[in-house]
Amino acid sequence: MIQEIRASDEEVLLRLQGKVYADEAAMIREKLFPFLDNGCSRIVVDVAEVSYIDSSGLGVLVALLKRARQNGGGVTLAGLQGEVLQLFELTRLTKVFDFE
Amino acid sequence: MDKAAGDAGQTREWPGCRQDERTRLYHLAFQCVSEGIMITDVKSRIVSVNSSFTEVTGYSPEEAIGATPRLLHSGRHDASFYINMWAAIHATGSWRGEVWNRKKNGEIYPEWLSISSIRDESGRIEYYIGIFYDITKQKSSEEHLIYLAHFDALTGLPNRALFLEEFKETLQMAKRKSCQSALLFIDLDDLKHVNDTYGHSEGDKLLRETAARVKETVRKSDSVARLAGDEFTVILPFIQAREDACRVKQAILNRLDEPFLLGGERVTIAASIGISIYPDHGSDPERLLRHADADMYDMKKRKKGGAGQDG
Repeated sequence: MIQEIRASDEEVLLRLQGKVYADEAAMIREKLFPFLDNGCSRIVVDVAEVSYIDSSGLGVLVALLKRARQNGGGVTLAGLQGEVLQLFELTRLTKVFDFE
Repeated sequence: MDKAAGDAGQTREWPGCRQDERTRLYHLAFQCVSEGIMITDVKSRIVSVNSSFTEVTGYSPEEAIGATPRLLHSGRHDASFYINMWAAIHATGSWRGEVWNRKKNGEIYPEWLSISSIRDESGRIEYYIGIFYDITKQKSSEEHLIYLAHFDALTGLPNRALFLEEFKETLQMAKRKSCQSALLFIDLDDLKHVNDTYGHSEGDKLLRETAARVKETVRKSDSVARLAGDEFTVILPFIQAREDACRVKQAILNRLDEPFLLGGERVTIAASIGISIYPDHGSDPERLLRHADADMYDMKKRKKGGAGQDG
C-alpha cells in the first residue's frame, strides 16, 4: 500500500509498504501520473518495506518509468532487497530501472 | 482508449426507451455477442462473464466469478508479457494483443484480447473489461500460409525460397569453418513425356517418389529441396573433396535409375545431375546454383537419355 507521497521541486518520492496488487497499482497510477502530466521527470520509489509486488504493480512502475523518460527523467528504486529484488532480477527489470 | 462512464451518454437511444428496458437490451446484447466478455474489478476478481466466455473457455459463470484471470493462464507467457500488458493499461487505459490461454479442459488456444479500463464519474478505475475471440482458425491458416511460403506442397520439400535461405546459411558456416560444401542440381529428363503419356497425376506421383528416393539416399544433414517443376537440389554442407559429391551424385543416379511404377507400368526415368563446389565455383548461392545448373545441362547434352520403359 501507499505509505507516503512527497513531492519536492526536483522529484516525487513514493514510499510503498506490504504487498502491491492490482488495486494498489491503479491507485499508484492515479496519484503519480498527475505529477508527470505536470512536467515532473524524476520519481523515487522506496520499496524497502514491500514484501510482494504482482505483474500489475511492476507494470505501473514500468508505465511511470516510460512517462518519466518522456519528460527527460526516470524512476529510481530505493531499498530493493530480498524477494522483491529477486523478482526484479527474474523479470530483468534490474536492467531497466536506476537504483540507489 | 480510456473509457469513462460518461462515454455511455454518447450512445443515441430510441426516444421513449425506458431505463429498465434499456438495461434489459444491454444485458441481451452482452449475452448475445460472439466475443467472450470478462469483467474484473480493480482487485482483478472476475465479476461478470457472458455466454461466449463460457462457450470458449468452458468455465460457467459460477466457476469464473470470484476467481482471477489467472484461471485462464496457459503458462505460455512469461512475467514480462503480463508486466508489459499492465504497463500499457496503466499508461493508456487499454491493451490489445494475442494471448494463449487455457480452457477448462486443459486445451491451450490463442485468442485476440482487448482490455479497457472503466472509470467512475470521479475518474477512479472501477473495472477492467476484457473482450476476446478465439483465433485458432486464423492462426492455423496463418501457419499454413507460412508453410506454403517455404515448402513445396506436392513433395513437402523446402521450396526455392527456403533452399536459398538454407544454402546461404550453409555457405556462411562453411566460410567460418574454412570447409568445402557442395550443391547438386538434379533434373529429370522426361517429366513432360510422363505427363503427356500417363497424365499429370502420375507426373505428380513421379515427383513425389523422386523426392522420397533422393531424401532416402542422402544423409539427414544434407538438405533436399524442390526448386520448380522437375528441378531438385541437394546441399551437402560439408565435404572433404569433390569426389564426395560425385559419390552422392552417383548414388542418387543409381536410385533414380530403378523403375518407377506409373500408370500400372514400370517406367525408367533418366536424370541429370550437376555439381558445384564452394569455394571453387563461387561463394554466393545464386552463382553456385547457376554453375550446378550449367553442369547439369552439360551432362544432359553428353548423354542421349530420356524416358524409357521396360516391363
